[in-house]
Formats: sequence, structure tokens, C-alpha cells
Amino acid sequence: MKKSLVFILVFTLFLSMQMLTGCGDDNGLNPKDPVTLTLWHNYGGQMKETMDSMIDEFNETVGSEKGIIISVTSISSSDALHEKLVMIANDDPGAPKMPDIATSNPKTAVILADKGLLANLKDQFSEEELSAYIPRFLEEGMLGTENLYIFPTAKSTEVIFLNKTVFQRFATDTGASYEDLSTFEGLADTAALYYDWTDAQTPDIKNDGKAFYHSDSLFNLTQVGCRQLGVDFVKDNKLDYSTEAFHKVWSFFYDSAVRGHFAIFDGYASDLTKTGEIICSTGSTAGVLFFDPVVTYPNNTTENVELMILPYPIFEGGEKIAMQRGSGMIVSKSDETKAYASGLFLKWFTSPENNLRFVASTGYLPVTNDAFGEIMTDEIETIQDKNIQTLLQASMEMQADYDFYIPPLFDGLDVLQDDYTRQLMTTAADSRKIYQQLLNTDDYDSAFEKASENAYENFAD
Amino acid sequence: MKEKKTRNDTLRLKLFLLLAILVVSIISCVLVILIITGTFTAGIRETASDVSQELDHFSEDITTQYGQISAHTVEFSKDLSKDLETELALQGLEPADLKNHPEILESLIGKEYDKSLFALQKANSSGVFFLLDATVNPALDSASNSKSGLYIKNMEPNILSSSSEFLLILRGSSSIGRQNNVTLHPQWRMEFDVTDAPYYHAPVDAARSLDLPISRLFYWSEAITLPGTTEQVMLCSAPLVDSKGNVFGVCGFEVSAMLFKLTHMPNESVSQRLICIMAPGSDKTLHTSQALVSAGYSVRSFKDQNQILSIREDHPFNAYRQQDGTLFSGIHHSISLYPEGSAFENEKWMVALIMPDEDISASVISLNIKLLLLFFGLLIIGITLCYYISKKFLMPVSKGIQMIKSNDYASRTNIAEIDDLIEFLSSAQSNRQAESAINGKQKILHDNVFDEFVKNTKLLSPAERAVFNLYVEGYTATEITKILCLSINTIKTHNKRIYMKLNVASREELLVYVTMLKDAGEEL
Repeated sequence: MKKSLVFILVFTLFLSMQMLTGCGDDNGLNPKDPVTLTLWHNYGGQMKETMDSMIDEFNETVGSEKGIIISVTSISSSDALHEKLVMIANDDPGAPKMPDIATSNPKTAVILADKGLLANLKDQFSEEELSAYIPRFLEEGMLGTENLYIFPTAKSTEVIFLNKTVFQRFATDTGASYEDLSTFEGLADTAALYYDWTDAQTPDIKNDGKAFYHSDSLFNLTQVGCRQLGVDFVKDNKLDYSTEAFHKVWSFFYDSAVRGHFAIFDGYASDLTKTGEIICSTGSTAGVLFFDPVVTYPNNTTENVELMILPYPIFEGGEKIAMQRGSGMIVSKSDETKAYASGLFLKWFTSPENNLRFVASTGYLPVTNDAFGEIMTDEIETIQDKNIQTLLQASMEMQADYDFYIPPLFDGLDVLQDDYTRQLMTTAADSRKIYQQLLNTDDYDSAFEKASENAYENFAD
Repeated sequence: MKEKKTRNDTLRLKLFLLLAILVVSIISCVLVILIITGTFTAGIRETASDVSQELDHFSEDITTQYGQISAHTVEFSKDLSKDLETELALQGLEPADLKNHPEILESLIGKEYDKSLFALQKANSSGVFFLLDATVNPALDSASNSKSGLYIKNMEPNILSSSSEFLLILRGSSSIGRQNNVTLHPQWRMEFDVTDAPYYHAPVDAARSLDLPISRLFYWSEAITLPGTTEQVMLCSAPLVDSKGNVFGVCGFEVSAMLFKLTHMPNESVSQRLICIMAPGSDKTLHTSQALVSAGYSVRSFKDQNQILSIREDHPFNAYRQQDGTLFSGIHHSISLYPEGSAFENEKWMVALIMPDEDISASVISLNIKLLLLFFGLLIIGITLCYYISKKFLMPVSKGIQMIKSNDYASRTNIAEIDDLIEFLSSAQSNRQAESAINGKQKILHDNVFDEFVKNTKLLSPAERAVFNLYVEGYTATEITKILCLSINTIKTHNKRIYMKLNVASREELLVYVTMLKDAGEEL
């Protein structure tokens, strides 16, 4: 009798506690009292639709079941997100509140991790779960530590984007071919040919040829170029200007830029391709959706164009190496419930099925072994967007043939990168001005010789 | 024994039932009080009050924000109109000549970049734009609906930063972006397509047909997605009018869906799924596909084409039904975006705060179930306590009875009344025992006297015996003289001897002995 009474009492107390504290407890998650996770991402433009629908689906399924609401509070470019996150890391006045989840590239994450603002995602994934992801993607997210700070969600590499419509017209007239673009040297020669071809279209105006090519990141180009030629550009947290390989890579850009064959532009190549100012660029596969199928010329006439995607070029005699790029998602260090909820979202977002859905509409590379395998080969056939289909085919080809370069990360790399890029562009722009003036009196080669005199030596010093 | 236990249970049962009735009565009274005071409907009333306060707050904020942007639009329109007219005058032109001089558009527009950017930062909006009634290429088929201008978007309007990283050129010549180190928006186009652009036509038409000042000519568009873009925006535009009254374009500011969301995010503490809507509509409907919506999560279904919410007024919440039947509960206010006398003052805008209907019922049911379960828990605890109290209360009584039964008057129950009783019983028993002891002693004494008496009767002579026997039988002395035919003196002599032998002093004492012995059944 006594025991049963004690049981009734305990049961009643338990019932009361349950009533007062709410039902169900999954690491602090409660479907009746959901936790809201703020998310910043850089999947704007055409990628926004896909991201919106995926987040809605998460909120309506797993989120609703577990008690998680993902709320997007910023959609900006990766540079803008970098700027905002660095403001947070530095506790700058006017800095926004740190989001719970944000897309971030390693250079941003390393700053936040140094300030202790990031959660170690290894706490949310078992060894077995992590083994499903492509190891080198995880390695990049560890930022050289034992912790996992960037979860691979959307990785990319670099490829050539080519305005196929214009290139075919150019190739028909000049005999240029896609194969020419398999090496940087071939690319530079093609650029020279293109300049001449466009210059010839307005015979009454001299030296008004168009630039052919632009690299989205001269720093990446230099790093990968040097690596292809067997040396490291970034050594002991410094830039090494002393190697032959560097000289070769530097000259590749400088020479063509001064001659007007390459654009000298501090921005994305997609801006220049939109207006028909260039037709070829190297950049992240993730940039595919930024290439407008319509080119708008200065007189507001437009032309529908087709995009061609080719594997990343190599320097003659070099190895097939390309940059591994792309952002992942970082999770801010907060309470266990939010960390757990963020982990659930990342698992859902990178499950092979969802990962491929994202890949198929954005051009990013899958991050799990399963998604990268046969599933992707089958999936490519069904992708509606021809550009993405071509892109993923080129990516698959590169996955098979190329090695991928993970650039070093350290505090201050950001500044080195900006300084190098600015200095290189300024040097090229200054020389080009002189070159253009000299063209009034000199021929191309003579003008170039004079304009580029001691340029490399001055730069390397 | 069994009978005794039944009696005990009955007493306990009576006490238990009495207490249980007390507990149930108290809880019932509390429940009645809660029902009368409306505690069971307090949840819904409290939520309604919270939502109402939130709505007041939102209405005020939205009115202020939109009012400020409207004021900035009017100011920007006046400044820009004057600037452009002055700039054109320097080239010997008037705004009306723009259509015939497309070659000057790029530089003319480019010169207004700084002014536009400054206006954007001052208005704290997500974009600034102006478009002129001219195109760079009048020869194109689409020229009549293509307008040159500039549209700068601030992707992070909530951040105080002068960084150009947050700026993008959505419309305008790419060279303006290059000159100012601003990237082109992924969905950039050189010119504005005004084929279906009320933000252009409405203020221009109003300015051309009505004689009103700029402050009565600005126009707020419904939430639209500009051609080739993916984000919904509301645009506030005012006509550009030169000093002669000629309308030559429009300018204004943008409120993007993200800016609206970030500045008017509903308070999660009221409800996690509270949705703030700024929509054109009436008292009967809200046009959500033309609305800006702010919620902690996406409400894509609102954005389906021609999506409306039908309103059924009720208390404390109105019911809002989507075309697919989804029901929401909430409240709305109408807000005024235009001043009196505005060309668009009849346009009606609503601010509504709604939440999925199931959230309201779920929260009320959940609260009431909690309360009822809490009362149920209290009842169980109360009845359990009644059981224990009745048992505990009767324990000393049972113990006392047991002690009395077992004549254990030494122990105590520590209950004053019971211990008094035991003490009383104990002392009563002691008295009885003392009395009994006295009686015993007396009896022993009597027994010895009687034994002596009986023994002494044996000493009587036959003649004395005969007289004694007759006394025993109850005869008087006179009667004995007659029976025994003796003289009275002889009898008296016998008497003296009998008295002496039996150790009595008189015939009365003798008869007392005899009577007492007879009563004791003794044979004499």
C-alpha cells in the first residue's frame, strides 16, 4: 500500500513537472518552443530561389519536427559577408549581431576562430558521420587545427568561363580553338589574337582591340601557377618573389595586361562579361550563375550568349593543379541547444539528396563521397541548366585528372593578398598607360619593351 | 479482532472522507474562481493584448520609416530635378531635350552618383534610383519602355559602413560602377524596363495630369519584383519636374524585403510564427502577393501570384483565410502612406500581425490542459495527504486503545487528551484495587471471627446448644422457655453461658453473627 502511494506521489510530481516544463527534450529542442537560428549566406541572385526553398523545406520538415526555425537575415556577396564578420570579430562600432550560422570562406573563418567565436563542429558529428564527407574538404575546414570550424557545404574549384557565342565567331575567323586555352601560354596567345581580331573590326580606330581575359583572383592565379610549376608562392607566411616560376606567372599577367589583352580590373570577371568587355575568365565554379546569358553592349543592344566551361589551364611543363575554393558554413559559439540545432541543419543540408539538389542549381561541388560518386554522374544528365551541366562535367573531369591546392592560412594573409593584388594591378595599369602613349610613336613590341622596363625588378623589390 | 479492525477502518474512513471532501471542495472553489475570473481564457486574451501592442508598435515604426522615406523622396526629387536642369543648362539644353541627346545620358547620370549615394545613406533605405524619360539607344524596338538611369542597391542597409562592398549597381551604365568601384548586381541591366512599372508611370502620369506639389505626387508601389531580379521591393517614387513644370523622370528609394524583415521582425516571445504583413487591401482582403512580409521563417505561399487573405472580423482575433484554406488569426490596422490631398490618398494599406490559427488554439489548449493537469495533480496529492493524515491522526487513538486493552497505563501517546484518558483510567483502576484490598482484609478479619464463633459453638453444652439452635431458628427467649419447658431464669443462665462461650455480649450480637453466617451459607 505504502509503495503504491509513493508511486502515485512520484508520478504526480513527474506529471506536474512535465506540465510545467513542457514535453519532450531533445538536447534542449522542443517542437512547441522552437529555437530560431539566424543564417547569413551568399547564395543570392539566381541561387536565392534554391536556398529559399531548401530552407523552407527544412523549416517545414526536420525543423518543425525538432523545433528549429532557420531565419535568413542576410544575403550578401561573400566579400560583404567577410566584411561584416570581420567587423564582428573586431567588435567594431556598428557591427551587427553574430549570426548563428553563416557561409564563410577560410580567410574569414580563421579570423573568427582566432577570436574564439566559432563552435567546433566535431562536437556535433560522429566520426562515422564525418567519414561520409570528402576528407580534403574537411581538412580545409579545420584551418590547421584539430577542430572543425568550417563545415563543407558548397565547395568549388576554378575553371575557365568562356563566352562561346562570341568565341565561335572569333575562332571561325582566326582558327583559335578550345585546346589553345588548356595552357596559360595558349590563353595569352589567344588573347593577343582576339585583341587583334577585335581591333580589326574598327579599322578606322587604331588600337581599340578588346581584352580577352580576366582572372577573378590574381592571388589565386599566382599561387596555383607557382604550385603547377613546382614552387610555393606563399612560404613561411611571406610571398616569395624570388622564383623563376613566380616570374613566369607574373609575366603571364603583366605582359598581356599591359598590351591590353587582359583586363586590369579590381572586380569579378562576370561584370566584364555582362558588358561584352571580355569573353574569357578563370574563376570559381560557383560563379557560374553570375554569368548572364545576355550581354549588354554600351549602346544598350543585347545579345543572347552561350557559356562554355573548360578545365583550369596549366602552365606549360607544369602539373595539373587547381585551387580548391568555396565557402562552408560556420556556426557561432553559443549554447548547446543552438549548436546541436545547427548540427542538425548542416547534416540535413549536406545529405547526398539535398546536397545534389543544391549542386544542381548552383554549380557548387558536392561535399559527400556518395554525392560525388555515381549519384552525381546520373544527376548531371537530369540537370535543366545547361551551364551547370557543363560545369559539373568539367568539374568531374578535373576531379579525376587534377590535384587540388589548399592555400595556406594565417593571420595577415588577407592583407598580403590585397596588397599583392593591388600592387600587381597598379604596376600593370601604370605600364599600360605608358604603353598606350608609346603606341602613338612605337610599334607594339617596342612600346611594350619601353613601358615594361624594370617593371618586374621594381615589383619584386 | 476482525470486528475491532472494521470499527477502526470505519472511523478512519469517516475522517478520510471528511478531509477528501474538504480538499475537493477547496480545489473546486479555486476552479470556479479561476473560471469566473477568466483564467482559462487569459492565455488567448494575453496573446491578443501582446499582439495588439506589437501591432501598434509596428504600425508606428512602419509609418515613421515610410514617412521618412517619403520625405527623403520628395527632397531627393527636388534636388535632383534642380541639379539635372542646371547641368543640362550648362550644355545649353533643357530636360525636355534629353530624348534627342542620348549621348549625354551616361555622363549626366554618372555625375549624380555621389548625390544619389548620399541620399541613399541619409534615407537609410536599401536602394536609391532615378530614371529619366530617355534612352541611350532610341533606335531599339524596346526604346519606348527603356529608360536610362541609375539604381544603387545597399545590400546591408542596417550596417553603418561606408564600405563599397555592400553597394551594387542594379541599373545604370557599367562605367558608373567602374568609376566608383562598385560591382554590378548579378541581375544588372543597363536600363530600366518600364513596360509594367507603376513606380514610373503612376507619379509621372499624376504629375502630368494634376497640378499638385511634389509632396502630393510621390507614390508607393506595391511589393514588386523588378524584371530579371529575384527580390521583392517596395519603391517610393516621385516625379522629376523641371522649373517649367515638365516631367522628365522619376526618382526614389527602395525598401527591400530583407530590409523590411530586418527592421520589422516580430517579437518571438509573443509567438514563434508571428508574421508581420504590410499589404495593400481593404477591410475584407489583404493582397499578400503584393505585400512585404516579415517573419522568423519564410512564408512563400503568401507570394504566390494573386494570393490574397480574406478577412473575417472576430474577437479577440480576426480570421484570415488563404485561398488554399489555410487559416491565420491576428489583427490589422490600416495605415496611411500619403498626406491629405495626395494624388494617391485613396490607396489603402494595411499592417497586419497574424499567426497560423493552430498556434493560437494549440497555445490556449496547451495552457488549459496544463492547468487542468495541475489541478488533477493537486487533487491526487490532496487525497493522498488525506489518507496519510487520517491514518496518522487515528494512530494515537488506536495506540491508546491498544494500551488500555493491554492495561499498559505506563506508556503515553503524547496526545494530551488520550494521555489524560489513560491516566484517568489508570487512576480509576488503582482506586478499585485499593478498595478491593481493604475489602479483602476485612473479609479475612471477618472470617477469623466467624470461624472462632463457629468453633466456640462446639463448646456449648447440649442444653446450651438447644437454646442456641432455637435462637438460630429465630425464636425469642420467651418462645424458647415454652418450647423447652424451662424457666426464664434457666434460659438466662444458658444465655450467660452461651454469651460467654461464644464471646458475644448480647443476644443481638449473637443474632448478627448468626445472620451473617447464614448469609455466608455457613452451617451452624
